[in-house]
Amino acid sequence: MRASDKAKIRQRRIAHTLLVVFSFSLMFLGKLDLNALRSARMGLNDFVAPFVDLVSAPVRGIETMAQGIRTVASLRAENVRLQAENAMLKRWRRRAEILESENRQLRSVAGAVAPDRRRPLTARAVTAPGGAFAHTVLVANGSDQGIEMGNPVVTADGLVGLVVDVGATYSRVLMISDINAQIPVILSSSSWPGVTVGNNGPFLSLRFLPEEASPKVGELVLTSGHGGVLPAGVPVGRVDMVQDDLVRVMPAVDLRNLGYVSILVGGTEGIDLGNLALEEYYTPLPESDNTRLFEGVNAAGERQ
Amino acid sequence: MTPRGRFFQKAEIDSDWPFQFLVVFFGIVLAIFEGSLALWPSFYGATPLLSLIFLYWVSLHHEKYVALVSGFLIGLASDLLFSDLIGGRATAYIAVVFVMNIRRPKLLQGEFRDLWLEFSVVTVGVMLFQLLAFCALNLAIPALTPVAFQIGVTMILFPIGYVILSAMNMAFNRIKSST
Repeated sequence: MRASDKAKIRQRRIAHTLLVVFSFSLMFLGKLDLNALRSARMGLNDFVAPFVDLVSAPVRGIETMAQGIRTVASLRAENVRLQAENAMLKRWRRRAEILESENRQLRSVAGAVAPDRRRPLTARAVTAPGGAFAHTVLVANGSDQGIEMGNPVVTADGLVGLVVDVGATYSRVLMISDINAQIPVILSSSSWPGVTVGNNGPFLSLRFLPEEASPKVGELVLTSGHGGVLPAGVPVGRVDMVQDDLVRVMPAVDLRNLGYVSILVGGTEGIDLGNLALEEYYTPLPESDNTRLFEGVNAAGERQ
Repeated sequence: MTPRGRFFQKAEIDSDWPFQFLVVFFGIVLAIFEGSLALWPSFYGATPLLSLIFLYWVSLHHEKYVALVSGFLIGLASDLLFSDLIGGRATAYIAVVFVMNIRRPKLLQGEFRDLWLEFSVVTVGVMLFQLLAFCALNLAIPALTPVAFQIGVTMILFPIGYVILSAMNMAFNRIKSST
């Protein structure tokens, strides 16, 4: 073997070692949440997303076709179901109108602050979570349309997640089912506060409930609005199973079928959306007793 | 005698670079397609690793067109678009190319069953590596059912992918020889 060949082999080995080290260190750099890396990632997403859209067109087409066939096959049953649902919705609408009027009167008496006004912005979901290690989706709207980090993403059924990365024309949404998503919630009928945590699976788990809390299967779980990032009262899911300490929540939104979503823009003035760590923006419920607050925090919002 | 240097060396007209680039490009397209499969509710959160099937096949039959960088780039594209763990799949794919360089001569002498078995081991290895890295960095264990589903569906799709890629290769060779 010639000396030049030996040198070439040595150079190649060094290059390969450097590549492995670089690739491995990327995992740690990614976790450091560096701004530069985040910007580079969103820049790349802005560039590649139209291509992703193009490649996924056949898949979307086949899915639409399959959905069409399914709909035609079950048209009669669907019609009966829709009629029943329509009748029920009419009843609910009347009830909602009564409650809204009552709510308005009570708010004026109690001097409560009106809920913040957020502007819904419709966006198409370009991707869906494909791997077992991240539940995020790209949506076709970005900072050009006024979207900011931390904006809540909802559908008519409830909360989908919140925006975690914003590019010029595309944004990345962290879904409530992601392992990093922790949503401050309350149980609708008992008002016990808690936090839903995703596990990259189809269900969420409800944690940090006070010991006295007794969640019921089927109970609605709503956002509590703590911190002001998410509006209060958005359905997150329903309690699906209660077993010892484990409270499982089924998301209100069918996250597997996300075509279009609404991004709620605005209404977060004064909140540092750049830092969404829970402990940073946490504020307690305005109640005098300690029993219905998050564990570790007293009524004044101080850590115990 | 006048020393004859590199001026008399054979010019490198038949370079592997364009094909290596093509492999990376096709791998990235497959990685994107793989992500778009999640739009089907059946594959939600656990799509088959089509890019791994492709990488395995190319490493086996056209090893000179696959460098470690090819595996890195395909994995990185997949990580940046669909994963939270940047570099996880990229590192795993580098390892796949490296392992295939070693195992290739033996695998080519074996039956298809051996290829499939080896591929299954590779798939489990790739997913296990990502799972361990994910657990270590997030200090949490994700739902394991989607991980198992992803491994299973990738193993099942391997023979189909292998046949499709081999057929495409044959068609490409036929076109090449006719021109």
